[in-house]
Amino acid sequence: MDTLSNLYYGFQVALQPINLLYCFIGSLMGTFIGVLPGLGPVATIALLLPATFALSPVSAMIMLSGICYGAMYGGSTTSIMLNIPGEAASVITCLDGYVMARKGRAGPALGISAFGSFIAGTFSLIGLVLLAPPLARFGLRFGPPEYFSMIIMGLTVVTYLARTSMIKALMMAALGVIVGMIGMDPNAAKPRFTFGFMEFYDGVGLAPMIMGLFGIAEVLENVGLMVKREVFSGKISGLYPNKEDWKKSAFPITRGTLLGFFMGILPGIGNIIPTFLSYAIEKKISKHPERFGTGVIEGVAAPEACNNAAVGGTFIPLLSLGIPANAMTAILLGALMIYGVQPGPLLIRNSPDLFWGVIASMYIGNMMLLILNLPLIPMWVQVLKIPYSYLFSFILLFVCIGTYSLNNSVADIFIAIAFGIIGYFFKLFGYEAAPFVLGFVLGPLLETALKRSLILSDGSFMIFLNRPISAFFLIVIGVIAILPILIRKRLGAGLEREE
Amino acid sequence: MGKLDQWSALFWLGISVAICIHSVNLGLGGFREPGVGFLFFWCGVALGSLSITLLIKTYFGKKKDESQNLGNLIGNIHWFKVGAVLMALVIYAVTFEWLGAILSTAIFVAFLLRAIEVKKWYIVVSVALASTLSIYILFKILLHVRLPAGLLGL
Repeated sequence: MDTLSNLYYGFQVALQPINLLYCFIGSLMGTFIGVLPGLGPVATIALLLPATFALSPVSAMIMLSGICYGAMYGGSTTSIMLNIPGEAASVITCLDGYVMARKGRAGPALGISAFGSFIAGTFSLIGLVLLAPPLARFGLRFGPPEYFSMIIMGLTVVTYLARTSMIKALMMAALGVIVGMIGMDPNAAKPRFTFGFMEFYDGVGLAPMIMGLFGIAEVLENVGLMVKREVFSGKISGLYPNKEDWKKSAFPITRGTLLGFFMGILPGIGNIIPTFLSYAIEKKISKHPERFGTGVIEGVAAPEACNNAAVGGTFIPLLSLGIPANAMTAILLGALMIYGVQPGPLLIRNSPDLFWGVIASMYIGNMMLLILNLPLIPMWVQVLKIPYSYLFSFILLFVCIGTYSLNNSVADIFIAIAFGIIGYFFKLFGYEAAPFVLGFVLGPLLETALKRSLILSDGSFMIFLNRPISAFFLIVIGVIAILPILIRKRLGAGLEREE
Repeated sequence: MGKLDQWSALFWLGISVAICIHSVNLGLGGFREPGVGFLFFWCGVALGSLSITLLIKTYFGKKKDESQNLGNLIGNIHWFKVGAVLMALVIYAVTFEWLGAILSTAIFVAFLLRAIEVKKWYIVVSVALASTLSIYILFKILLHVRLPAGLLGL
């Protein structure tokens, strides 16, 4: 009953006209960005972060959350119409979605993608409502040693699931922790690694860093390669799947939803890996696996449901424990701190309007997207025709002026440019930015947890083993470290081969 | 990625050594009372150890595709365009407050479209003006962001 009354309260918050407006803006922006290849939801959240500082934390989080799941809707459009995923989690949709479009069945592909996403989004929100509060109550039992071990576990899982080398991902996580701790020491009030720059006394800003790392780096990569795109110019008709399409898609949507949701909860998984797994499972259990890749609707329904369900799943550790599951939620965590909201198990108690309001808004946002997206598909196809040569200058403007607006300081623009160069070289040399961002956001928390644990234990590291929850996390870390040696294949590395 | 990984591993090894040295100067403290540079030092050690591991792995491990080396990297990228975009960004940042947001934005966009994309002049001018106007409306009017007025006083 408590849950229902809290959810009712959440809907009261979410249905306020101003929050409805921001939910709509976030969902629409997310879809727009999801449609445009080259600029993912992470970069979008980074670009729009400064614009949210003028809003209340509740409205800001509602809008940013809208971008997250809106991007999942939008990403499928380009996968189906253009054979280029709008964002990474829509990669697998290209395999069958584009073929369906070529066969004149773009409408049902887009339709089942939208409906499947809505069903999955609804289910994942129910799961979020049911699981997040008890997990938050469980999280109240966490002390510094548990937080330390959990953060290390989260970073380790992220690196295990890295799509390139695990060693390189671990290096990025360590580097991210280092960069995240730059600034004044919270206890000794001594500057660390600031090199005399006053701008770094409060640490490296999250917004300029991620705008550079994702926004500018992405532009530099695209400018450096400059691949010409072809737009599919076929007519789209019949947006609604028929009875046969629904019959074939019902179970794939169900399986995809469950897989995406439960995997999305786990730190480091995100929504890319579940979508690949979902496709692989459908192909494996199908009576006609040879048809996958030739334009079967199950090949669209399952991964699209999966990636939207995973978004809901990733919000559970973020809202209940204050631990991000991937780069996207890491930025949301950083945003919460900037807004002055303390993330963690006490978020539900201290900011119930934010917690329940965001959950309720996600449901409203999913409904908006379902109603809007189908009629707007012809418009999204037009958006695809915007040449990148015009788009990239706009992205750069957004980054520069957005970062300047944070503190009215040109120094922030230079920080964004510096991280843009760093991010570009990360891409060239095959280093992933996600572990870096996670390490950056979690670094200060990790340091505080470590110092407090060592003070509590009088310098003994056994405290991490003596406490059962902390010991459990350390066992998971050990298993993850040994698994690659035992099975000679990592989940993330397998994805590279699939591509 | 073999050769590239070797170069990057050496780079990160150098960075980790610098981090460790600086951390020692900050003060490591002890396990009972960690100092200011404590976690920096150990993260630096982790980074260095992983760099050495990567170096060993790429040097002694299975020879994979050797087409990805520094030479190919340099050859396959339009470095002029990348460099020009970066230079434009730096100049834009330097002139942003002095010239003002409006003027510097228009010049920045015009440069990108003309020098990088080689668009015709009428396209350059119209898109530069349109971009500047939309940025002005979005940031100054809708979001109430204070943008520097600069030379034009706008």
